Amino acid sequence: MFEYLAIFLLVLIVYIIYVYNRMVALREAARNDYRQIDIQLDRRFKVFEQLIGAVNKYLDYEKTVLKDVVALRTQAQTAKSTGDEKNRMQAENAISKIAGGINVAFEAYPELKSSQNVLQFQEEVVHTENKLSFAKQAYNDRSEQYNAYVLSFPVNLLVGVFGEGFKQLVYWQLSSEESAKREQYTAKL
Amino acid sequence: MVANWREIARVNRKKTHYVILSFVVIYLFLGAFIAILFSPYAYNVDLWPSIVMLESSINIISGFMLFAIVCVLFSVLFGAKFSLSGLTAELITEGQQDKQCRQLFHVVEEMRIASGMRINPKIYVISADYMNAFAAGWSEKDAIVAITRPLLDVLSREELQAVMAHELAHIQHADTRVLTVVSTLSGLAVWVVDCLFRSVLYGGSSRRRSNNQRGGGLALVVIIALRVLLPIITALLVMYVSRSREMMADAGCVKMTRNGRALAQALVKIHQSHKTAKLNKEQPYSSTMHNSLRSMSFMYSPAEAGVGDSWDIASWFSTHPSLAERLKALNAEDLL
Repeated sequence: MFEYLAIFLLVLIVYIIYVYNRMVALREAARNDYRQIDIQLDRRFKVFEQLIGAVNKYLDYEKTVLKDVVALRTQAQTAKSTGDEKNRMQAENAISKIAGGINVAFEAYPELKSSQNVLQFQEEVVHTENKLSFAKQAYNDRSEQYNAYVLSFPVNLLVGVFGEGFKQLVYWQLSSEESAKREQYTAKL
Repeated sequence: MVANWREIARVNRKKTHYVILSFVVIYLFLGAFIAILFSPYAYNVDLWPSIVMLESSINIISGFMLFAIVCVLFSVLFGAKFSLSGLTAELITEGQQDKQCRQLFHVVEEMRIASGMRINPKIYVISADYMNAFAAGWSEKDAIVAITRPLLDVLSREELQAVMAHELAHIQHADTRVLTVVSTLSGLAVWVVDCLFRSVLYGGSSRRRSNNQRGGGLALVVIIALRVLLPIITALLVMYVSRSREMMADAGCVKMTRNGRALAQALVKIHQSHKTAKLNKEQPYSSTMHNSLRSMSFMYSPAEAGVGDSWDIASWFSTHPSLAERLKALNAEDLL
């Protein structure tokens, strides 16, 4: 009887160690992807600052845009330092929207649109936004793996024992109001 | 079902071990056969088993194995460079002046982020008259991706993204690793058999003498059989390693880009160009050397459109799934 109990306990301990290590591995992989988003956000701010500054003298449109971008970035940074993930995502997503706006703004200036500099500029904007969104995608994929594991039975029972370090990760996504706005969006012609 | 790439890479690594093991067996036999040919008693078939047991024969066999190991090590170290041999390739770095090259670099960087890989592969643009792309290299660190100039010219940004994602998926799935080993070992084996064939045909006096004997005749038969069978065996091994590796890479591409349509469009564009080349009786692949080195790693198999060397026995076995199959998996059959 005692032997069976000992074997059972041993198997349980090994299982718990396995679960713990796997959770750590999944979480750290996701956290690493998260840092990648930070890197891309940083990069984007620098690129936009430069690019918008460069075309400032050509387009009236951009004068206020640069201010907006800087303001939103400051908002995002403060939110990050206070650990307010939701606010931060909102501010950064707002910058993404402006990025789309810049490319649209060029459409109104045919002579600019065809210039080599602007084409390069557009490629730079697309590249910057793509890098960011693929970083978000990678992070979300990894978070999904981790979250699904943490929530599955019987791992979820152990998560309570291991404590705060293993809460679910927040997906990078649009706020619900914003996605509702996009759903109702119709192209104005 | 799109499997996890870690799982795919794990299975691929295991298969690599099996493939290496089969090649060890093939090379043992080949080594033994060489030892027999070089011994003065080769004419007597009954003596063959005992010749192999001689100390001098074992030396030859182990020397031969050592040579193979050195070759494999070389291709592990320089495999990516080998895959570019015979090609005019331009390395693409950050901040290119050329608009398309700049875009290519950007796209690869984006896909690297999407794939979760840490290091950008080296990117090459190849001057050639056909549309294709391939990846090579042992690990992420020394991996390369390459695309031919005509293909770069016709693809839209999204299609280019899809093609590069497909190649990165090959690197991530460790397909390039498998192909490095398989192509080196099979190439070497075929080369050795070729040498033996020639040495028996035009060889020195000792072997000409043995040609007239029973053993010499049998040796020639064995060599001819090997000459025919080895490419087939290799092709079968490649198919075993991963008949579905192109499909897996396509799936990996969709996982990165979330856009199967772009990949399908790119594949169709490549296919059309090969069809046109075939119609115009062009020989697109004849202008670049050593294509057999890359034939297994090309994104699109020229054989699909009937382009290429039909005397190449290995090309009779399809290492790539058909275009129709691939488009079906991408849910884009309507494009064909």
